[in-house]
Amino acid sequence: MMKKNNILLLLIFSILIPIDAWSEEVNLYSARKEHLIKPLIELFEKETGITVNLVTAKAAQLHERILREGNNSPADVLLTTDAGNLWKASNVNFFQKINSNILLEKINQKYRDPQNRWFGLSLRARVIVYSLDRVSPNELKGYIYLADPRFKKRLLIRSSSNIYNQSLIAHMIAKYGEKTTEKWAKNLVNNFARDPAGGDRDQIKAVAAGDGDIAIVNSYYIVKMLDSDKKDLFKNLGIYFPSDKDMGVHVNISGAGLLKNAPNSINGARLIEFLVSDKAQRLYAFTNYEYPVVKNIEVSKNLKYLGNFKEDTIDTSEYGRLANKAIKLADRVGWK
Amino acid sequence: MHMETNNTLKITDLSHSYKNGNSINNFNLEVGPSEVVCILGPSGCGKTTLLRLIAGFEDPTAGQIEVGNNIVFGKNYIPTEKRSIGMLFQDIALFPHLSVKNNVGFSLSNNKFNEKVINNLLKKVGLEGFSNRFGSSMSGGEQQRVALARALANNPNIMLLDEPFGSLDAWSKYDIAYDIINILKESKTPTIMVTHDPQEAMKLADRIVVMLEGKIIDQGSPINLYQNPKHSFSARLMGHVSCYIYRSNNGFINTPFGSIKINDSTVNNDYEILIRPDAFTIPKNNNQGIDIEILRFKYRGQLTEIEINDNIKGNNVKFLIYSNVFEELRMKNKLLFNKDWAFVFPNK
Amino acid sequence: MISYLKNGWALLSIFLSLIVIMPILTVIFFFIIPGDTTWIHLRETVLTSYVFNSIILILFVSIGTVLIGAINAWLVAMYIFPYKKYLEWLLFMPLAIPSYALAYVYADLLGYGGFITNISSFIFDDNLKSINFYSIYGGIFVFVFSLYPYVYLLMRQAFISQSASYTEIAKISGLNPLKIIYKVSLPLSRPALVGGVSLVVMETLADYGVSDYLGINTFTKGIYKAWFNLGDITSAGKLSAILLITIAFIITFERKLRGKAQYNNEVRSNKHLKMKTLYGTYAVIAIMACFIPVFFGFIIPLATIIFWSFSSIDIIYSYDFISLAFSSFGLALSASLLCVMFALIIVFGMRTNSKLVSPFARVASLGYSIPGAVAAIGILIPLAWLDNTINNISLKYLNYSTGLIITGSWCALLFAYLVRFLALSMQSVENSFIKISKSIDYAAKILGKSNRKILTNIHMKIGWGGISLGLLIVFVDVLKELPATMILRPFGLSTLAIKAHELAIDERLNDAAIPLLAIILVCLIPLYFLIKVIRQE
Repeated sequence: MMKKNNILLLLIFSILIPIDAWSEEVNLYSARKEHLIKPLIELFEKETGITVNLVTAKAAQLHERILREGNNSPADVLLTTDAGNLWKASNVNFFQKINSNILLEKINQKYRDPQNRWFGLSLRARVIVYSLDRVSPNELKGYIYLADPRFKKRLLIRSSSNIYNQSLIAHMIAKYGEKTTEKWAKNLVNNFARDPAGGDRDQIKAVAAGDGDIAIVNSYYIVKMLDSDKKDLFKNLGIYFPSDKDMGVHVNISGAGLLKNAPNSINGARLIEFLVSDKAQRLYAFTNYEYPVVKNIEVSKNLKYLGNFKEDTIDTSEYGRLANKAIKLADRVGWK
Repeated sequence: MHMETNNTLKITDLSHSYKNGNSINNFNLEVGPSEVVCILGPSGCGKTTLLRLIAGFEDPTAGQIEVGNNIVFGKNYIPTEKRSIGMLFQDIALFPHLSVKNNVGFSLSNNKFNEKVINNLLKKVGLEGFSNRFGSSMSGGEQQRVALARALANNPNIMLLDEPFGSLDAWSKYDIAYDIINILKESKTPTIMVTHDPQEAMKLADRIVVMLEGKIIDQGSPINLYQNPKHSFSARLMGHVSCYIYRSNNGFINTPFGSIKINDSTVNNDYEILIRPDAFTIPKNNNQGIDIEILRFKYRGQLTEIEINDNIKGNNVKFLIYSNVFEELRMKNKLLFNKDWAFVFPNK
Repeated sequence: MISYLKNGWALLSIFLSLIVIMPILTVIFFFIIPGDTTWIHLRETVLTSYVFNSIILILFVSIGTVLIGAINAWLVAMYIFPYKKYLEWLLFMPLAIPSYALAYVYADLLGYGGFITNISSFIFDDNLKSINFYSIYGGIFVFVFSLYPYVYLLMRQAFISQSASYTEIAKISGLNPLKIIYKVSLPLSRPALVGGVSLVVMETLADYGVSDYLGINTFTKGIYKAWFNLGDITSAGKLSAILLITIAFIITFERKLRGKAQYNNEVRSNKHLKMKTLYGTYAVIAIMACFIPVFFGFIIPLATIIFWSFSSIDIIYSYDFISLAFSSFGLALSASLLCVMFALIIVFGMRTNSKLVSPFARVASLGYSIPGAVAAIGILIPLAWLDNTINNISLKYLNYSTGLIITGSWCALLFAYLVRFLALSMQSVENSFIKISKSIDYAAKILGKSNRKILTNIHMKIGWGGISLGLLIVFVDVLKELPATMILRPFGLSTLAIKAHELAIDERLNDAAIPLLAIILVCLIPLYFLIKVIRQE
């Protein structure tokens, strides 16, 4: 039968495809979406001539796939947009150490694994976006203050199932301990203007629409929105980097690690090193509106406008270590 | 709400037409209590349309329909739901998702009294004990009986049967048919049955109405139609005939078997002659009858077809005769022709 | 026993069914493993609300789709009214639009700065208020208008093929039109109703894109959470197994409820209902009733997406759109061919020996109710094991590392589609084969034709309509599929659906519009053929 033959051909063909061509390549599993990572990849390919094979999915899904693929997984580099995911991967021995002076010099130890298994490549802060009309400056303090009853029905934040909030909660646990954090989270939930709905951008929009007064979002979202053609909608909003005497700003990283069984480990290491090069870091800043992990890189006008902020001292590696505790805590206090 | 039960049906000057041109014109019919009237005709003659008009699925363009003492169409109008009619269909249409009991009791409300009614009806149609069965596990005949019980449960003033026995197998068809017709006559419900099968009509009807192209062309008891058809079509329909076309000659038509006198002696026209096999017998004494030379014959069960020489036109002519008569004919070669069994119709 | 063995077709069917069942078993396997702290945590905290949310979702979506689907099927089958000729087929159109596309569209239109919000604040002179679509209510809205065509499709068929005699008898028995619908037409179309609703329920339960985008915490979300966020495959397996068992239970329960009552049309002469013409207010009501679902489920989403695409046409994309469309198309085509091939063999095998083959076939159909990601992992585990075993063997004896052959290729992905969508192709093939009387099989056998010849020369030729229907349905679903594709795809393979989803989540709706449009346009083609096939019957 015609159809049967076609299927067979297709199946045979598809099995043969992954058999290597003889060019240099590197296999990238990326949690950063394709259209966001593409500029960086294209730059890398141009500069080095190494082909990048890309798979994108949610970090957790990539993690599971690498786990199941086992020793023969073709993944070289795992790229995520959150420290927690990197920690989880290293915790189950996905990564191999990279001894690279470039990486060690350019990246502050706060933003990389103490054992050099994963490396931060860009930074983002979790900030407060607030209505200039309805919030007075003296209400803006550290994260812990958000649980204060004065914010009842005024707070907007996305679901606890999102990794960025999980890392924030983990950070709080690292700083204040589980008991205090649980009390804080419970009161936080009481302050919700509505059940968590939508992403960070939707919280910003909701503040602009008057559904709430304060939103907790990642820095690059609001910066991007202020730079877009819809910026007029947001002109009554202000940005505040929460910090107080105990805790500085919660800063998270996007980063990468080289997998233990990487078939192209040298190329993989090159890719990671490339991502901290000045060119790549500038791309992070200008196209993605993130803070470069490397010091003294020029940032976009809006980012510069926001000025400097005081980061907290807790290492990003803590986010992953306490992630599970954070998730369960969120479930217990009813943070949907 | 049921109407007063006075079991008659009266249709006056009924007309109806479809977009494709088929129509019923000025149809008149009366059916009395206990009467079983068969509407017989080919497909497309309008008989099913007639039933649908009586039932009220469609409305006629003119005329009047009376069921019992009530005008359901005409000066008054009563919709189908309230006409108290019973109907059987060729596809039987028992509700497959309901048990026999619930099928029969479909038009009744759910109470103890009606339970008894249902049981009595089932007994009447010979299906006692079938209450909890489902149609899919029953034969066609049994299903049609349930359909009858279902129709009777509604206390119908008239019964309409739309080719109800067409889907039953030949073995049991007439057993069931007789049963059903008898039950209907017992309950004194006037019944109109529509069919295309003359056998059914002959066996089951008190009166047959022959329809062709929307009009009644003949009417009468089965015997009447057999002996005295008023139309060549109904003559053919009701029994076997040998058919010929001959020209009249000064008031007489000459056939190979004898001359037939007709009324119009002025004009010489072509006529259609239809002769029943009953016309041919063997004369008792040898002076009567005509001499026959059998050229060929074909045995066809009850009838035999004989070919003889036509001394009028010169070629051979065939005719049908009862086989037992034929046996005698072979020996005696003498044929007696009874003109009463020859029907003459203008040739259109 | 020996005669069973001799029946090669039955054995082949069972074998193929087992292939499909394997991932299902892998999932259920975890049900048996005792749960740990994570499981207890889930049970104590969020499990109840997940279950509750899923039940609410399913309940209201079922009600909504039945109302829209049944009423419109009824109107279209029983009446003639102006524009019915167009509306009858337009009602199918939402099938071409993936449900997550509706989520993107309405969340944007009703959100801050959205079209509808702007208009309503203009009319009502309000401060810019927005409707929060990111909720279970938004989900209900999306699923109802996206999935009602399943109910509509099946019930329209049921009403049209119902013999007119039933309604006529009901009328004669004194029932008014409303009672006729309630006591006769609806009960008789019950299998179609149940079939449509179960499709709707399974699509809702297995959905990923809509709940992900709108943030609805469903049972399926719980499965994802347990597996991917908490890293606990056992809990996820338990939840998946619960899902499967519940669905199997509901199906069996409904069958029992039906009992001895039969619903097929026993009538031989299919007397078709005469349609009544509607005039005046009634006609207007009918037109509105048909138009509203088309409006919300097709016209608004399509118009919005087309509008979005205008502003992005001159943006240069950083991906190769043509190759994207090509790979989506090719993937969908191979998957549908594979599914139909399997379905043909299995259904034919059921025909030769129903008692033996049917149980396997039925379990294989359950794949439809597994959420895509679960199916993906259920496949990944055994396939990866197989791959690793092959690799180890080859290393040992040939000193050559084969790497991951199966899992890194199209095969795994096609396998996932097979598991997920076999049920669809099986149902279409079954429906078309039912119409072929068994006497034909016997006649062909006597004339010396082998089973294979009977299948290829007779069944496939006669049942071509149903077979192509199966092809088209699977094609459309694979084109729209998200989660399994994301997890299992090999390097460099992306699909239109994934592209659109990534862009939409990133709020680049204008960019997402082009891949969405591509999906919709391609889905319209098989929809056109589907309508043609239905029209012929």
